[in-house]
Amino acid sequence: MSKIIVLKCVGHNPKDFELDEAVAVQFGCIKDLFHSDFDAESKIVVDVPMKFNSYIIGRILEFCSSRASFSSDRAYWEQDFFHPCREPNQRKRKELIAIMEASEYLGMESLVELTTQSLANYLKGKNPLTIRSLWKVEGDLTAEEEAKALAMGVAKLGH
Amino acid sequence: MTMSQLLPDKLVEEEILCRVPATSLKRLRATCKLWNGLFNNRRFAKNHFDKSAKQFLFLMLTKEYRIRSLSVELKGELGLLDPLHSVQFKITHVFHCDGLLLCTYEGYHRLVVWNPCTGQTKWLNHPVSRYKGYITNTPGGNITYTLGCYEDKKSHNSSYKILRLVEWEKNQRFEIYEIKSDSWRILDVNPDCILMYNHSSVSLKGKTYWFALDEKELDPVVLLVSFDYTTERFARVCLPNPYGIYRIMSLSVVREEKLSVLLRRRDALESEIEIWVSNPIDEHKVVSWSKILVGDEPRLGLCRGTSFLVDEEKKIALCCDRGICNQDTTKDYFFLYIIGEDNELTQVDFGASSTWQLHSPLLFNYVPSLAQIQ
Repeated sequence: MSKIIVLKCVGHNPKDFELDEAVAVQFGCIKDLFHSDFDAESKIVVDVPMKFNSYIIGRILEFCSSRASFSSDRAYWEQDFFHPCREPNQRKRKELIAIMEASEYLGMESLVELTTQSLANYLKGKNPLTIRSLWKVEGDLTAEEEAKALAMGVAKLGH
Repeated sequence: MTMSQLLPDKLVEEEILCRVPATSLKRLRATCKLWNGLFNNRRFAKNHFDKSAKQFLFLMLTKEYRIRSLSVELKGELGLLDPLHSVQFKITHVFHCDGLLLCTYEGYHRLVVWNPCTGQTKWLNHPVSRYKGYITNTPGGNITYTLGCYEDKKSHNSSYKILRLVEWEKNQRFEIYEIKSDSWRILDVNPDCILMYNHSSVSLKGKTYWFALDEKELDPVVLLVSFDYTTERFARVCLPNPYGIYRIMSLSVVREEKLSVLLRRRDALESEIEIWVSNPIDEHKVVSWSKILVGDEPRLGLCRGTSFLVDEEKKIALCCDRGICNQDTTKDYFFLYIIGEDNELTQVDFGASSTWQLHSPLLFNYVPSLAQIQ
């Protein structure tokens, strides 16, 4: 019998996810467990931090189990999984960030790269005021620092 | 990070912002202290270089001594204020390496290493050469400067050096400046050939490339020479026809991985020019060449400064010729040629100017980066 890993999600909509080896080895933080010396028939329970709810973990597991059917991870991400759009709404922004942080926690490099590249694409071409408003970034530069940074950032060659 | 903030600081610094193209990123530095501080962060600059999609842009030196973008995705012109003289720095020569621009002006012997994305500059006064204290003011210059990247042996960080070629009494001598130590020294090295510095030189993967002439053979051979700023040594690279004698030669770079040469053979009966592109340059691989474009224009290259840019994927090249008009020797004339698929060549007249000091190749590649000048 193969080893079974259980991802235990607490908080809102608590849920346990049983992962078979094929899915579990995609997570850097879990794959080493399959090489450890313990009873092959046992279950290992991994507690997921409360900030990562069962919906987000479920989306990540959906990505892991379906990605092999596509020509590349990027193709799956863009065509079927997340649908990059010109300007994500508040819900979609929060979902993207949650998937990004959970992927980083679970050690799934491919998904970290896809989510952070999507975020970078959304930041491209924006100005600081828009960024602060959409992504809730605190503008903590002094007036003098901001004026200097703006002057350096606006000058020529760039949009 | 405040409770309401959506983006986690660690991921912003290590994974998100380093994927934003350099020219967009520079606009975002005024967003907050964290983002602004990244522009002086060497580790972030390296991360950005590794993870962000490269922007391969084309720039042009104008007769107003400024730099203009030719790339449709970017707009505008670049200029610098010389802090010492509080006037616009008149750029007569530009050399690009790793997103840094080495700009010189012969008029008052100043040079600057400049990163337009970060705004960082390093100003130098044109130093007296250690070779008998001789400085030449000859337009077209017997002194040329190039910029290159090297790996510091102690810290294993990348840093930059400036190589100065001084042609003095028919000999070519070299001096080198380390930005890190802010000092010049003589470089006792012999490339065993004559560097043809009047033709364009380019930077690729931290090394500088020139055309050179080996006169030891009965028939002089034209070849390419590279300079490695880490080992401070020259190495030879074969041209497509290693025994050819060329009337027109110009060098360019393709997507920061390949060299390109524009050649017209001296013995050619026709006025055919050829553009060749190398395989990806790698110190472990032999350089090979593919001819990608051919054009027929007898006037191309009659002038003294030919520069070109090539888009290998679209099979199109932009060539710029600059030379003196026979009717009015106080003016330079500039011509632009476009060589396209099916080897069609289109000439676009560009204009005339009295800016005789403008002798640099006018077209050059540029890849914006956050490289630190240190």
